[in-house]
Amino acid sequence: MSDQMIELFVQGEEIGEVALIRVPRDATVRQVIQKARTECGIEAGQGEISFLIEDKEEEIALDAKLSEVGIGHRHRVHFHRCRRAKVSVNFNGMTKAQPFSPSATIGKIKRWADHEFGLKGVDATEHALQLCGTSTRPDLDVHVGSLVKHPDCQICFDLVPKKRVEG
Amino acid sequence: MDAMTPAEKVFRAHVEKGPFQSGVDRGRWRLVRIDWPYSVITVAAAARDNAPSEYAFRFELINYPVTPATAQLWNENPKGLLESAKWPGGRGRIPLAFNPGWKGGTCLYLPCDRHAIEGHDPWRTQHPEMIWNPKGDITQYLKIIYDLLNSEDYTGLRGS
Repeated sequence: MSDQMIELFVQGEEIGEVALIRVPRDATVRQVIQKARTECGIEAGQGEISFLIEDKEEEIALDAKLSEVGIGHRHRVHFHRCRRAKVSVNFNGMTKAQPFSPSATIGKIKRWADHEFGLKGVDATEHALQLCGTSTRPDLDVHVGSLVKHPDCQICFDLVPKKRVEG
Repeated sequence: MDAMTPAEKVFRAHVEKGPFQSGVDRGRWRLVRIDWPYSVITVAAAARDNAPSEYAFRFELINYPVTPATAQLWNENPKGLLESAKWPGGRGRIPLAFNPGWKGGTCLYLPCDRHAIEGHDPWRTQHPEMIWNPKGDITQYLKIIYDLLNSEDYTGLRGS
């Protein structure tokens, strides 16, 4: 790979798994989005898109160059039509809710949920976030925006114990 | 003549893609070698006294990804199964998953493992989140190992 090219880990609306794309170091944010849309076959409407760095709140202008906003090789970014994702987590008959940036990782949301429900140490590591009504447990690296669609922009998790494999 | 099987081509493509490379970038795992139909991949472990920072696993990947992978705890030098005293130890989930006494230590006791799932059909409903998905890639197995080795349950070397 030439010095003029960098790789970015990209997630976003309708991107099923983290994508690794190659773009010029001086590409604009808009060009990154276009490249990701093409490579991932995204059909979601164009609309107004926010572009964010992983676990950050500040939106980055679409005309900004990557090098101008400190985005470099193998950085992690996200784009989405939702400005916020409303996240709710169920545990022991209680529900806690909080809006997050679409670029918030499941790891960040898990730490928030652990705090809200008072789970620490081994209790925290022995529980996982599972999409409500499914057996799907997104990886800690997954951006919550990858799991929500515009204009709904919300998602529900159950905080469930990791069971021993026996029998 | 291209002697590479379709399964090997798919595997080599998968380890270059986002999900595998994301784990590499996070320091969660790294590819050591591909010697088809085997591949050795190390998985990072939480820091524990007198324990390694990573464990090596040799995956057997025949008909990947349609057929589930199977993995062994591995020693690269000299090449062979890892001696049981050097296996990961713990109190709950760990000693069940990493059990050198089961099938002679030739695979992990996990629902995603090709050999372990044999005869364990109830696991498909008990642990659906750990069942191998033929539309997925090797990271589905690596994430389960990584989760175990970085849980509070993991206490270090089994023999210590």
